[in-house]
Amino acid sequence: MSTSDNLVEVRNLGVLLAGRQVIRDVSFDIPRGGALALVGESGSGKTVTARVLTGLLSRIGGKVNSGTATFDSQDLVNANSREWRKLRGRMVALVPQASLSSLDPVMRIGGQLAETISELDPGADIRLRSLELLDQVRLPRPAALLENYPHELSGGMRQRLMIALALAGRPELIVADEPTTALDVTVQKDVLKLLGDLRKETGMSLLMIAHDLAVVGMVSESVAVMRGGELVEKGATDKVLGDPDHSYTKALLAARPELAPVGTPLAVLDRETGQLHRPELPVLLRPRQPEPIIRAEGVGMTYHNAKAPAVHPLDIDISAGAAIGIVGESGSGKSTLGRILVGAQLPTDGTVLVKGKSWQDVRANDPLRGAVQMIFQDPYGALTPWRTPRQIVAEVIARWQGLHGRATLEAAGDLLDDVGLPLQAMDRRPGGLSGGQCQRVGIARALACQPQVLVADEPTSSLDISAQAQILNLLMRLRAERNLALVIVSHDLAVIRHMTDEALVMQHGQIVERGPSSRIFSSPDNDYTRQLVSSTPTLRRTA
Amino acid sequence: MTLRAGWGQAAGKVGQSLLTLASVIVLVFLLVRLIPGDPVTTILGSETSAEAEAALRTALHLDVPPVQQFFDYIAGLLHGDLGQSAVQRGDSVSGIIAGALPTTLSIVAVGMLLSTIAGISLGLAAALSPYKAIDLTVRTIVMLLYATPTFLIGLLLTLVFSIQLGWLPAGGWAGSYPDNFPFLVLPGIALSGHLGPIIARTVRQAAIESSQQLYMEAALSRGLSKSALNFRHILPNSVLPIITLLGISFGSLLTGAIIVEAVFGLPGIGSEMTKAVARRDYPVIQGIALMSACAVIVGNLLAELIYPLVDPRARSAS
Repeated sequence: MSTSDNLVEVRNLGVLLAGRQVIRDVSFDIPRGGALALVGESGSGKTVTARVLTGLLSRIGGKVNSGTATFDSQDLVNANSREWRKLRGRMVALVPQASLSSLDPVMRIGGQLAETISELDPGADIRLRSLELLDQVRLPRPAALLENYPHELSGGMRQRLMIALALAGRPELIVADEPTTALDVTVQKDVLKLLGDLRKETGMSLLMIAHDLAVVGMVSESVAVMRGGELVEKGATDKVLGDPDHSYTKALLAARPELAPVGTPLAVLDRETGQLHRPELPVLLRPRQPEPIIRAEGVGMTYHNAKAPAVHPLDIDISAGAAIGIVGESGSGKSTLGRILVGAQLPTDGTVLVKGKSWQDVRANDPLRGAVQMIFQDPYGALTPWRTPRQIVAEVIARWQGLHGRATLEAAGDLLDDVGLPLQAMDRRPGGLSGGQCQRVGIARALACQPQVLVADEPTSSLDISAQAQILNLLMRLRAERNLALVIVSHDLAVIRHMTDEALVMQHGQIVERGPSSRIFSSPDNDYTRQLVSSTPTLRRTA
Repeated sequence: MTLRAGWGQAAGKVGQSLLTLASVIVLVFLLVRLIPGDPVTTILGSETSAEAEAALRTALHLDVPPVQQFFDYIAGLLHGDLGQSAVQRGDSVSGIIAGALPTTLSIVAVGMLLSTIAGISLGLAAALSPYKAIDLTVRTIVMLLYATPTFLIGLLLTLVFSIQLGWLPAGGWAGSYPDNFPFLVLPGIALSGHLGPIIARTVRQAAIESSQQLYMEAALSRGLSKSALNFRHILPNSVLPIITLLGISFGSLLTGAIIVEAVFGLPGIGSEMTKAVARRDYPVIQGIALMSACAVIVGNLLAELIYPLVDPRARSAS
């Protein structure tokens, strides 16, 4: 048995899951003390690959049917459960994505640390070691933390705790599965930095699973790009992100809004030709319209029993064809503001006037109801699961456009075609559609009301980057063609900068900065905005 | 999640229960007054003397205006006075209930205990190897038990354990502890034939769900052994729903106890209720109805108060 420089060697790996070959011919190495990032969109097989290395493949019913995977020359593919118990935690440890559901809700933090330490580090003083681990991941007031339950911690603190639990057995490899996906950007930056620092301190290796190319640059010196179960490109992070060879990697980069000139269509990979193409946008027509469609005057929201307002009183005007961005982290009040603008929620302060009429006086059957429509974050959850896109849109058309019978179904088909839903998807239930397709249906349903304003709450944050590019292109086209006003609520600065003319930055329910999007994100005035901008992982424009 | 907030929540729940209790008292009061016709003639029948009617009317306190009746009734309740039996002269309703209640509560307690122990064990055993032989056997037995009426279970138990094997008495009551214990076993088992299966199914479901949770996978990935995980994580998480279940089931256990008492000839609330209904002893029916309602309210209240103590998430959810 030769001691290799590589801690992990994966050769021609193939995995069968539910009768499908989900991983095909994947090979990569992780050097001792080195790091590798596996990047890909949903369904690329990156998480399944991580399961092979953590021995969790059989839990989802998967089976390795070709190739090998070794850890320190030890066979992982055929390891039995006793061998895995020696490996897990001690040699390979997992930092999972969902920190809240990855902790037992009814056991104190101290208890969860204690059971892990007594298993992996028998003989250690449990309390001392617990405090040491919490300290190692830079958690403040560790002694008090031991008494807390998981739900009492913030997302960032929980993710640090997951890292502390993973470190308990002093493993040689940490597999971090999208460790920062659910976190705010400022917290994400800290957690990524922590992972990098821990690598230096302990000399451990890291396998990072990510969907975001920009995150990778912050933690790993090499990257492997996966697509549809295959590894399409691997190499040094700088090379792959700066000068990729494979058309799919190029497409992933081209789809990123921060790499394209503001307001221009994003490049999309054509599945058939394998070529990148940029759709044309019609020229934006902007007739002067002095009277805003929505005028929010002093609107604020204070929930019952809340200590502070969710939204402090503020003013916004939205005119035809405008594009306004509302940016902030979780708890900033941005979604509440979005809901107030659509009239889904009545403010506790001030009024929202829609063409001069307050939402309070707009009845359900008032045509004004249709004038402002919403696009939701969870595109799948926003659709009735047992109805087809055509039925979903037709129902709204029948309601708002006075059509009957077959005519509504035809009009629905036209509208779905306009938002780019393939014909064969129109009569499938949402369960059989991709996230991007579901979001197109959501947009078509909103358009069926013939709105003048679309409020989109994180419209692309649950979508893959290529689907995001397509949805953003669609929204830009609709805005230009129909002179629609867009209000985009998002945590993603790149999306806001690309899509909007004016931006509001919110923190703790207050607007901390507002102004032209191009200016706010290039030379922010406010400290918080500056912090947001510097925390956001971005790729530099190379071309 | 301050202690003060916890007390405030608890006070709110107690207040809600008191409101429910108040409306139950009003309903129970109206019960007698809403019976079509005159309660006195309903009780005594048509072949009776005017003196007897007048005496009963006074005894039932029906000779004063309804509003005064209501306030007198409330005043009585506050003193623990539920009135006098209309049939057993000289016996107070509270005396009758106090005499019968311990027997019924003993059966209910034994039934709850057996249901919980058997339900949790069977449910967990089934969940730890889902869709395997143990699981299928447990689920079949549990379904059969659940589908069998309580009185039939009681009769079968008597047939096997009393008549054939002669291990336990077929019925009756010693009247004092510890002599009562042998008389409690079969009624307790019979009573748990309904609740036990519900608990077993709930625990099985919860345990299967919790074994699929990410925290199980995360713990597994830290090298913890399966048996440790089952004991420390699955067990506590799957027992949580039982608390609510027991609170809700308290009422149906009382109802079940009436049938079990009849089968085993026990001198409990059930037999008093059956007697009172047969004799149209309205004050007693009224008193027992009020007591059962109280039991249901208290059962639910206890479950609501205990749950946050066990599930930390329920403590901070305002």
